[in-house]
Amino acid sequence: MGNIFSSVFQKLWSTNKEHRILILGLDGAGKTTILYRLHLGEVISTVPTIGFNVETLKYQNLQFNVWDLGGQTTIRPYWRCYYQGAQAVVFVVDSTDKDRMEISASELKTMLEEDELSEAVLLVYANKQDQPDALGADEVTKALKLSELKDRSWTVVPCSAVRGEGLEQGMNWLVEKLHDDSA
Amino acid sequence: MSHTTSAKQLQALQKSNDNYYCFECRSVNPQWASPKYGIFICLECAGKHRGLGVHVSFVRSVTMDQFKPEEIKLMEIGGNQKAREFFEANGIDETVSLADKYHSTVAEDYREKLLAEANNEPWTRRDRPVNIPQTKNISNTGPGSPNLAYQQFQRNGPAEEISLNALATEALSTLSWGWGRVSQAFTQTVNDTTENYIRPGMKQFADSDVGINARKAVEQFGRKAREAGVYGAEQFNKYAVEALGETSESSDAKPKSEFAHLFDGWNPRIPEDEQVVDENPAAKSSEKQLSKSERIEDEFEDFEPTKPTDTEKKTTDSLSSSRAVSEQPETLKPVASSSSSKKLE
Repeated sequence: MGNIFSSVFQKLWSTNKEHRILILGLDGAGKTTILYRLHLGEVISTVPTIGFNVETLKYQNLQFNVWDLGGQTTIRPYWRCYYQGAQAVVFVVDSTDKDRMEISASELKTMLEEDELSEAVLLVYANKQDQPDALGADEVTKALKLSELKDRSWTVVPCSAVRGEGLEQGMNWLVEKLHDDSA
Repeated sequence: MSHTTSAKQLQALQKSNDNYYCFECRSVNPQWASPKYGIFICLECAGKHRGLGVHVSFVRSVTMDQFKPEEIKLMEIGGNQKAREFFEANGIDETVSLADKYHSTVAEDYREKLLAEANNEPWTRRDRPVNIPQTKNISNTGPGSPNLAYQQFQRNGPAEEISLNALATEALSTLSWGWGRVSQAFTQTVNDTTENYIRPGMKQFADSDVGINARKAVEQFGRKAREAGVYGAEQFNKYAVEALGETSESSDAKPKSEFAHLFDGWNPRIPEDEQVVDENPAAKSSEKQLSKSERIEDEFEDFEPTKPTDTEKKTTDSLSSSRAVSEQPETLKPVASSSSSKKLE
């Protein structure tokens, strides 16, 4: 809890330029686990996010202001309140949740149609790769219909937040893209 | 089925009998559900259930998710009591860890049984030996988990009314109470906990250590928020000073900014008596917990005469809760033990 407060204060009173990043995805995809794995370097036990978590991360030489918004059905429409100024969307998918892949795809589609996110780069984490029945990156790409995206930098990175695998790879891609954009 | 209809149905279900208590930990008014088992669970246990994977337990929020008609049906024909009876009849009691319980053949049987009933189909148990795995429980979301304060606060504090009404109708509020609502409410909640929550339930509280934990949790939360306040004030002063070119060495020099004085009159430091650092909680716990349970009895004696037989049980309960506390991360440990004993004096 203290971390959330301190991050809010840092956000308000920091003069450094930060990249604003949103972590979105269906409930239980692993958004909060990813945020805190990146922030603390460890796996924490999470509970469903009511509202949001926000943390300031330093990765390589960039500073990120990362917002992790709750994914429950009726609070998804309010993600849009956070779109403005977001330079990247990290979309997290539970790769074992085949039944809801379609819902995931439609939420992603709706989101990317928003003007405010027209410039944002898209990093998709195909999470829970530690599970035996997880879909691979290719299958997730197909299920989310990512090849239909136009004028958008995107990538799919398979990862396991609980094992810490793949997260760095995704962040490296993000850093590279954000560097390109600001150059 | 519209969201409001399903939410109303579920809330009516949730109030009936055993459903009013979390299936796993029996905390009151659970706002989450696992339709595969037709059970109602609390936020904390919802977190644990999600960790099992969607194929084992798919968790839904009563107020923030839409249930499919078939999920509502499962909740209707299921229920906490029915699930508990099935698990108990098949050799799964409360000593079995959550992961083992749901990875057992018993849990799978129950999922299949409930689904068959929902579809009006006959159910016969699959022909196979009962298998209940016995892995070591490595879950760290015990009663001392870092999240507990926040969850208890949500369960017991103003969040209860928020979750029932505001969340259902005005989901936006959930996104805006990241900090504003919490900071505004926490002081009040710390007071309300004794006024509204602990006193009416005095009898039950005397019988269990849930009350102690809940109070501890709220106090921990209050303390955390205060620390955040301290941090905020420091950061603000730092900012105000730095923004005007003052260096830290010239701290005796008068800052030029009027803002640098904003927090001057306010001393957010935690009082000395709360900063007790418990060097060795394990060694002291026995003595401390015993005296604590005596104090609890004193406090409760107006309400419920203490039976001597209960004393021993209570002491063991308190001891086990003390062990849980000592498993907490370093930062929370001293707070929990010192503030709770202080409060009870």
